[in-house]
Amino acid sequence: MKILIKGTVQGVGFRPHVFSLAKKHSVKGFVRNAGPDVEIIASGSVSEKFLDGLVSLAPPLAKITSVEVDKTAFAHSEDFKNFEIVSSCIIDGNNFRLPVDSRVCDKCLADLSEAKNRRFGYFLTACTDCGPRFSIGEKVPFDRGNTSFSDFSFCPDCEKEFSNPGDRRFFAQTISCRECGPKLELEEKHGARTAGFAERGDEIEKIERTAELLKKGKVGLVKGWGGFHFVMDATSPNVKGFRKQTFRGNKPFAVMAKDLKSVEEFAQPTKHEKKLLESKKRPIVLVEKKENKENALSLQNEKLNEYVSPNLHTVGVMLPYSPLHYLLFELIDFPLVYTSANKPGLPTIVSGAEARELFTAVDSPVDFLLSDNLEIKNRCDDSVVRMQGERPLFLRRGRGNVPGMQKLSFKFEKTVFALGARRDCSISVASKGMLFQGPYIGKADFLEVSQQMRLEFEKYVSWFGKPDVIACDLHPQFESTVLAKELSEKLSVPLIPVQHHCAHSFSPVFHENGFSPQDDFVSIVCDGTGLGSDEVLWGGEVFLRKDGGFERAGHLAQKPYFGDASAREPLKTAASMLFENFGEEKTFEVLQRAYGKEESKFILSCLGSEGSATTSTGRVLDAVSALLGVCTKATFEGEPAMRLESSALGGDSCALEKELELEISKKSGKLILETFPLLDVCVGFENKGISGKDLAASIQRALGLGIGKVAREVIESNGIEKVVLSGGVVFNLAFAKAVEEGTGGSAQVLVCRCPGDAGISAGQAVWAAGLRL
Amino acid sequence: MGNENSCFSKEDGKTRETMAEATKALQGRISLAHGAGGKSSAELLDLIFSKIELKNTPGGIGIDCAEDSALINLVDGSKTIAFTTDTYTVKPLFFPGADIGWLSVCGTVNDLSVMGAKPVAVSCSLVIEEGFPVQDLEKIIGSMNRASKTAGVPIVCGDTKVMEKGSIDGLIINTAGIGEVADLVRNSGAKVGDTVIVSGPVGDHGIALLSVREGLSFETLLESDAAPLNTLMQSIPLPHAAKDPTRGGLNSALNEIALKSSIPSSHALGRGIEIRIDEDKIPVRKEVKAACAMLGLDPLSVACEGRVVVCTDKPTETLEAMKSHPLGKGAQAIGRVTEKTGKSKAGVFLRTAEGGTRVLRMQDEVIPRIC
Repeated sequence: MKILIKGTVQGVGFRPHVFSLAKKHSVKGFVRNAGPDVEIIASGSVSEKFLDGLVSLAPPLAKITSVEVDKTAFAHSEDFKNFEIVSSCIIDGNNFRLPVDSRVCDKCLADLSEAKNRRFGYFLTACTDCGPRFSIGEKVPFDRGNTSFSDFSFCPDCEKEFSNPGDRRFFAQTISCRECGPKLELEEKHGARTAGFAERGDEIEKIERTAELLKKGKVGLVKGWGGFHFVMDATSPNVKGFRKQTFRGNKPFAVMAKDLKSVEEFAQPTKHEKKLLESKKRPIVLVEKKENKENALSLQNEKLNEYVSPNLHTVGVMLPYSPLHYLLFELIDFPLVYTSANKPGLPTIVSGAEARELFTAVDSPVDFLLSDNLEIKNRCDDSVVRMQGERPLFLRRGRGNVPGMQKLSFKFEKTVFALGARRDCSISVASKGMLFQGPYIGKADFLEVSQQMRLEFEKYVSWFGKPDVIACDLHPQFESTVLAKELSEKLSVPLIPVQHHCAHSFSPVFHENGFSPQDDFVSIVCDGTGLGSDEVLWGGEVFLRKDGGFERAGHLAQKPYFGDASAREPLKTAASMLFENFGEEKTFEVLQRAYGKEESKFILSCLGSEGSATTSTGRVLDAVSALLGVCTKATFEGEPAMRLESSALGGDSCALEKELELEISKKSGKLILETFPLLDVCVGFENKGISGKDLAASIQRALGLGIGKVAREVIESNGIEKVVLSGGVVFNLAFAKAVEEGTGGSAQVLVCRCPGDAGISAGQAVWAAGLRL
Repeated sequence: MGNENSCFSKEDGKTRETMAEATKALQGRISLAHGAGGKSSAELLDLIFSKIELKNTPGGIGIDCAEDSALINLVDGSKTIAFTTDTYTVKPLFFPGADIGWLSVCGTVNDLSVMGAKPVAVSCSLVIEEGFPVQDLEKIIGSMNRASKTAGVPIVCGDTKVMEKGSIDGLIINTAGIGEVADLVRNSGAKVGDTVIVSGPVGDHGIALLSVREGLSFETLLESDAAPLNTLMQSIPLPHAAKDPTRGGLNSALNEIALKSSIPSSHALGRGIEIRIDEDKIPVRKEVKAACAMLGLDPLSVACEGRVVVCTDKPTETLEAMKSHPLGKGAQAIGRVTEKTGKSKAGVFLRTAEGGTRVLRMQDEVIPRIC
């Protein structure tokens, strides 16, 4: 008989599992990787216990989606003498599957901690149940030769382990040891190189030296599984200078801590956050900082330097995932800044050459380089998650979640490649019933990102086959759009530009909840801005999906908008939104909060001319942030609204409930939510006896309730049962909660799992896959 | 799935180049974008060139090369003459620092100068609307006179027409000019290794105009940079390529140089060139920066009228000479000409302050992109 097992069944130790099960139940025949699947050929019949055990006893990293048993196949073949693992075979059809990278397992940790163990102190200790997979996998089937380990042949001891059915590491493709495996290389800026790759230098010495350097407050460029990181002591005063040198503005750094106990010294993770932190996937989780007793708003704690995550009430933290991390944390007792090594918006560094370039640059902020010679095949940043109660919301999908192919809940024939929009750009592919969401590449403003997208595109073509359709954003000037157009011409396939918020609406949240995007639903999309089909910059939208149609049913009132200046200087946004009602004099006063007389006059004079227009939710929150004096200059995208959220923590969100109930009117068949009162109430609030905190909290809630109520009207008048909530503003938990409340409770609210722009390419792919072409 | 009337995606396989392109294509009419100096203008020129059969004089450089001036070899081979023309429709007619009259003479003098020609004479044709104030006309002619004297170039012939009220708006001036070419400078001559130098801050003219049209008030009065560049051009070592960035600004000028210099016939190896610019080296007045940020404009695409950008292998001498000239005090080296690498069709790249590289493309308008 033939048994075909599908799912994530390679690179997880499946073949050795089948082997030992076969031996136990006296099954004769063989097992092999066939394309992306596992194929078992057995002579005669097999016991139910064997078939059962294939699934019930499957190794921890395996995810089985189906088991097909064909009793007629090989029914009359020769009797096999025994059971073997035989060579993999390639199958036509571009079926791509690779497991996600998983943190080092406890058994391997025990190995590297045991003094007598062969792998004591070895940084790449791994087995079938743990280690890098996606980041080092080149193609399917998952065999050593198709991974970065193809550069390293087994030494006799590793060979023995690999061939011994009784050994834990039997048939483990990614094992190595200090004799035959990749080596660490440590280089210091003003010091000697501690042994190159070719030499057998002491690995443990290098790690000890690294710990020493970190204790001194030095900054390292350290190679991880999916890319390089900047690493330094997170309690060190040097964090401030490092931040400046890397042009990060106030963009928060991620932190790695030894264990939960260590995290709890500077943060207060919830039960669900703790569970996620300790999971195999080891993502970065945004947790609430521990309150500073004196001044909650100062958000400082001596357990974490104030420049790690300045002005925010959260900090992104992860627990160690690789043996190297565990070895380091044995030697240090402080948390580490552990953040992707790249200039904001540019792709993470993965190659030794790029790392070297950064390290040796004249103005390099890096003091030492800790690298290894295991090639990173697939760039894979850390995943970043914010928990909304029990639900994880992804700011970024990366290590531990990629590839993580999802089965889509509707049938489609074509293969779609979607190139995303601008921020957190990634490429997603919908093919053969599955959705692949590629990892973060960068901001599609830059040539470097476009070049990287081109490479990723070619790689995905080798994995999934050529696209039948290419999808992109409506904005003609994004590098992703330009590239999509070029590729569609080159490959002679149709190009489908997808409106930004439509893409946000069609995220794969459906499939996870068992319903199809062909069904009726309402979507609420709140984000910064995305080009609308009427040339206005949308950002606070309600859509109705009904009977196969998709239309804009409601939105925030349109306000004048002055381009990218407004995004960077939210007080200008506030001024342009208030100008019509306030008039010149009053608006001039508002501008005086942050600008000198002459400059205010100049800005005022610009407000009279024609700019763009926007219905953005994010820009309203930015404007409020500026008017309340929380943030008048964005040093990174989204900063004003994020800091507003932090400043609202603990505030009374019902303080001005009556006054801030927003008006909904109807115009040209659409429901419009007026937002002016939200800004108006902020002007001169200091003299009205309301605290900024209460006001911030109330405004967030009022805005959320307002747009929720717009959706409610659409839901109730159309008998809709499901609502999708999406867009980057949804990460603001208080706001999202208010939106849900505003929808009234008659429909089920599904929050998009990847609501920010990182999820755009997936939404584009799902939309385009569903179109009748 | 998918509503036929859905505005959320285009199913015809084409993406829109600019926001207005779809409408343009449908109606078959010339739009304002066609005159803006960007992508659509290039398309309009292609349309015209395709319909003119006799494009150049024997051995000369003609209309389809779209250089700043045409080149004509005199029959007896003794001299090469540069010949150019431009029509000025600028509104408002009077703006800080200059007016249409000054502009009309400078513009033509400059088109000759950046070819390496010594301007010899200009003509001037006026089309005047009935009812136009004589006082204003006097002012404008006075400005033309000043420009002619500053440049040292006589206005030797012309024409005047008056049209009925309403059939044109105010005043239009056409000027044509001839010059003597000693050493030719072409848009297509940029060589790998050249330094790219701009003679002063960019975007002044366009913003000065806007400031009147939109009623913007600046801390210091921003004036148009319109000026005749002939003496400046004559004072610098002969560059490989030169262009005066007018409509479409520095962006258009650099893209044209990059494109023309990459045409196989214009250099030996046929690989093409790229221009790489450092964003923080480009001189832009802070008022211009602020105005552009506020109005959603890119300073690099805003018009100048008194600047030249050159590609030269003698950067030190060029900069010294420029800086000693009254019109070149703000001169700056902004980048280099390099060999074309990579698969991108683009020719001009901008290294931003944060370290990433942006592609500078010819475009009709800037749509806000920060999301």
